[in-house]
Amino acid sequence: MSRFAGTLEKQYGIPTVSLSNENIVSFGIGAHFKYSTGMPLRFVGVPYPFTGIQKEMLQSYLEGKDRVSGKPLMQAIVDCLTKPLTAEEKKSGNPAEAAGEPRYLPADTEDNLQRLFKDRGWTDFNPIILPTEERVAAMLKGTSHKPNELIKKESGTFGTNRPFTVEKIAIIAVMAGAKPEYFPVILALSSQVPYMDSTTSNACMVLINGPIRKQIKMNSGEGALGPTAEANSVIGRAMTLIHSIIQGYQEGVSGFSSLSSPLRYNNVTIAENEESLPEGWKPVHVQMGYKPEDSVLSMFSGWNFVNCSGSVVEHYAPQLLMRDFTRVLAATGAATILMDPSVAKLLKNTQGFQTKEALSEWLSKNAEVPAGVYWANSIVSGMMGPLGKQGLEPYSGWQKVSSDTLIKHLPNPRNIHTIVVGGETASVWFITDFMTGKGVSIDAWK
Amino acid sequence: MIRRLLLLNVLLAAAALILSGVVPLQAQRDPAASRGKLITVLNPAVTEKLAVRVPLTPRLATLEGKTIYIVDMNYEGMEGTPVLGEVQRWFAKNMPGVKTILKLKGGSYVADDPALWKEIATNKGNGVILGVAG
Repeated sequence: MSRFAGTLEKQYGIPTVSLSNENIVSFGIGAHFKYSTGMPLRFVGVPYPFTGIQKEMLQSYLEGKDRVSGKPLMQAIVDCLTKPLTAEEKKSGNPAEAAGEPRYLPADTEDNLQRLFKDRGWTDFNPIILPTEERVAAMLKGTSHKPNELIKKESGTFGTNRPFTVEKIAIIAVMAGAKPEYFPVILALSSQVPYMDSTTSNACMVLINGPIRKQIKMNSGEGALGPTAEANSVIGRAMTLIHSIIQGYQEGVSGFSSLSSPLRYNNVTIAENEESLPEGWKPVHVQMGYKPEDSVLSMFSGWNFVNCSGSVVEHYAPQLLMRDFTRVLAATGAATILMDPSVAKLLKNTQGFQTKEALSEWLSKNAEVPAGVYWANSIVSGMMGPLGKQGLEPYSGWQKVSSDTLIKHLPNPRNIHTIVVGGETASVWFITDFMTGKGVSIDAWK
Repeated sequence: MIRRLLLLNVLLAAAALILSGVVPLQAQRDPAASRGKLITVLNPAVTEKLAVRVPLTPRLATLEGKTIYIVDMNYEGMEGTPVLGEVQRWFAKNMPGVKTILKLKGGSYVADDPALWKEIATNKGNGVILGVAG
C-alpha cells in the first residue's frame, strides 16, 4: 500500500491518503517510513474487518473515528488531502544517520545480560548462551568466510536495509547453542532472510539434505519432527533468532500476526532420511538438480500442517487419503508431504509409484476440491482471484463454474513435493501446503 | 601461657588460611556467585539504514470541484471492498461538489498497477483515496 501511495505522490504529484487497519498504518508511518519509503505518507486508520459485514456496520465505520488522528473518519480523509504539509513532511535528502550499533555491549553480569537480551527482543524468551569473544571466535572456526564478510543488505521485512556480516551470524549461532560444525548450515539459513511473514498464521520449514546431515548428527529417523536432536533443535532456534535480530521482526512493530503459528517455535527444522528412500526415489536436493554429495538447505513456507492421525490401513490406499486431505490446504497450488519411509515403501511396492514425481503426477490429476471451497480461502482469492479476472487459466475457468463443481486445485505436479523422514515405527505422514523454491548450497558456507 | 597464645595464633592462622582458600573455591563453583562477575559480550544487533527522505506532494486547497479517485486495492481479490463504496456514497451525500471515481486496482493487492496510476494522472485526478488493506 505504501509503495502505491508513494508512486502516486512522488511520480505523479497526486496527494494520496491510504485507508487501512491499524497494523498497516503503524508499519507505514513507523518502520516502513523510516527504513524503506522515506515518505511520511498520510494514513487513516479504519476498523477491521472490511468484508463479510453488514452495510450498517460499514456505515458505523465511516461515522466512527480515525484510529490515527482521533478525528471523525471522513473528516480525517478530507484533511489528509487538504491540510498543508508540515515541515517534517517537506523534508528531503539523506537523513542524519544515527550512531551504529557498537561491536561490544557494556560489561555486565550474566543475569543482567540475559535480561537485556530479552528486553531488546534478541531471544525466543529462553535463556541464551552469552556470546563472549572466545565463544564467537570458536564459532567462526566453523567457516572459511571472514568475520567481516557482508552476507546481505536487504534483510529487513519488505527488504529494508539491514546489512549483516558473518560475525553477526556467529554471535547468533553462539546464542542459540550451536556447535561450530553447524555454522555453515546457519550461514546458509541466514542468506535466506527476509523470511516470509503474514498477519495470517504462516510458518517456515527448513529441510537439510546431503552429507552434512550425518556429519552434524541431525535426526532424520525416529522422532525426527520432535525435540530429539541437538542439531535440529539448535538450527531451528537460530532461525528464530535471525528472524528477530537480523530481519528485525518484532510483533506489533514490524510484524502483525494475529495468532502466529506454533510451528515457528522450531521452524520445522528437519533432515531427509535419504538412506531409507525406496530405490528410484530421489532426495529433494537431487530433484532440484544438486548432486547427492552436495549439502543443501531448502526453505519452505506455508500455512497448513495436517497430521494423517493413524497408520496406513489395508482397505484405503495412502495416496487416496493424501488426495482427500488436500482439500483443507490453503490451496496455493502447492503441497508438500512428509512421509515415513514405511509409507514411501508402501507407495512404491504396493501402489506402483516408482518415483516421487509419479506420486506428484497422480495427486495433481486426482486431487479435487469444490470451487466454492477453493475460493473461500482468502489466500487464494487475494492472490489467484485477480489472475482469474485477467483471464489467466485455470483460475478464470474456476471462477465461472458453480460453487459445487469439483476443480483440480493442484494443477502443476512440480509444485507437489515429497520429503521422506522418520523411523519406520508407524506408517504415518503429514500433508502441508508448504511451497519451496530452489535450495541453497551449504557447502558454499563451509 | 605464651605457648598457649602461640598455639591459638597458629590455630587461628591455620583457620584463616583454610577459610581464605575455601571461600574463593566456593565462589568459583557457585553459579549464583559467578553471576556477579562482569562479562563482556559481542552485540548481535545490526544497524538499520535510514531511507532517503522524500517530501509529500503539496495538498489541495479544497476538494470542491476536484476529481478524487477512490482506488480499491483488491485486498480479497474478488469484487472489491464494500467499505470504499460507502466512502463514495458519503461524498455524494455530504460533499456533492467533489467528483469521485471508484476504481478496482488490477492484480492482487501486492501487485503494482502502473497503467491505473497513469490513467489517474492522464485524467487529471486531483487526489487519491487508496484502500483498504489489513
